[in-house]
Amino acid sequence: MTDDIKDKELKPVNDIRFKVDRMAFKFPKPRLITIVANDNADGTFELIYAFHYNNQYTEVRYMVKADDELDSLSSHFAASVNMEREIVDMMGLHFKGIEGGMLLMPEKGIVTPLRKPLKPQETPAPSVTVPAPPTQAPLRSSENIPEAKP
Amino acid sequence: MSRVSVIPFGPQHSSFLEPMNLKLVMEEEKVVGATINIGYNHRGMEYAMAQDYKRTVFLCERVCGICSYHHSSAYVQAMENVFNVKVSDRANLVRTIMMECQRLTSHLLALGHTAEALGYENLFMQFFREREEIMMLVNRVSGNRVHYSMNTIGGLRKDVTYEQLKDIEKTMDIMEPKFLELQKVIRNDSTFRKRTRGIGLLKKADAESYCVVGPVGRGSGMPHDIRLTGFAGYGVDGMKYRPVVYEEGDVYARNNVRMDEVIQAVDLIRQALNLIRDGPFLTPVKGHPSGEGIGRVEAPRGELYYYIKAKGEQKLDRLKLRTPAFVNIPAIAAMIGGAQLADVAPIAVSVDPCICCCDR
Repeated sequence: MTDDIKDKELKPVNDIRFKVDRMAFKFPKPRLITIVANDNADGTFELIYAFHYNNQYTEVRYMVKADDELDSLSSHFAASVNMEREIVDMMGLHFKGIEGGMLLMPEKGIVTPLRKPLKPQETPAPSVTVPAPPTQAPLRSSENIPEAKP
Repeated sequence: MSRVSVIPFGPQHSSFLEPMNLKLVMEEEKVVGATINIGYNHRGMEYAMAQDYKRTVFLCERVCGICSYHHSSAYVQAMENVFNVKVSDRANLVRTIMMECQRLTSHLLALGHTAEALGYENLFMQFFREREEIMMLVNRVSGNRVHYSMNTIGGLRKDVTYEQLKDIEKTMDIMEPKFLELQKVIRNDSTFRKRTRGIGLLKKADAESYCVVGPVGRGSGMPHDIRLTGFAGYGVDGMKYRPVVYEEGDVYARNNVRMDEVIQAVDLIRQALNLIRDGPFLTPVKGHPSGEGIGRVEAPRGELYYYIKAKGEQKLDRLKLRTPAFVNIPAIAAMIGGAQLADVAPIAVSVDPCICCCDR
């Protein structure tokens, strides 16, 4: 797999738009193959913009948060509208000016079927040292139990 | 000022094989705009296919009945990418032969369908008669007419025999003159030309914007063809291939691309038959997949793309497929502006719309 630009860190949405724009303005014009959305199950999503450019496969990747409002690529590629509508339906992400309801009926039946349940958050280790608990008396065993006096 | 009206075209319509809806904005007989609605056939295949990577080899063929072998080829290619397995030349060439056989059946169906939409019932039957011969050939080789079930991760489920390869060669020799005879009608018949030339124009700029693929793109001057990247047997030494490209961008050009590719498919099958040698047909894989992989093949309608993310267990983390119909069908909106209502069916059919693929 050839990766032209690979960015796996969470970045502001403006940076993302710049990278995809840089790809869209190349000459000869690249062909947008598809947009893949991966749910990381921690409230973030990985978006993969796959391009066919100069007879080669090229990707632009980035991470977004679930409630980010993303720019649509429809000003460059008319094909991106349906791809983004599909992501809105399946993953529940938000694109500016793009509505869902293409594959699923809005507000009826199943909602965002490809979203995964959130992973349980790991509790962070306490920074303050907790004093050791006081030493407890030894457990009562049959030997320590005083015999009942008659 | 003429009156504007909105006419629904589908989802149940005699010219469509599957449900799709066009909302046509009309000024008398002229179409001035169109909205395309899909989603009548959504089955949640992406979710189902991610449940078990072994069963998906068979399930992915059920996405579409016309390009089923291309679906399984793209899927196993992506999985071989994940497993990092090299497939033998024999398996790759057999895959190429079967893919080209399926391209023949698909293109003959599309051309027959176009003929029917234009009112050529007899031509439609002739295309389907020749298509039937190819389907019977595929049945003799694989045991199935539609879902071949020949692929598995690492190669083929079973090898093809010498007699089966001779059968393919003999059938191609019989079929080629018949295809050349049908080609004359598509190219030279005066009524056919009048109904298709200059109709449903898709300019190159629009084609680039809609990112169309396959015969729709190549009919508008976009020379994109994944076979040039040399996947499967197309990359074996000795295979020669050049994409068919027309610049006109109308229904006639799209039909000509398909007709030329029918002749070219026969040539590619012969090339692969000449290059095929004895050897292993399966490279076994061990364990569960882990990592990412992509599979891209040139299906009859254009590039088919599979993305797989596996996490070392039977269930896949993500499976995404982008079918060619998903990008070709929205381009109907760009072709249809200014057309007459009578031309809407031939224009929509010239895209070869596969709703099963599109909705998944």
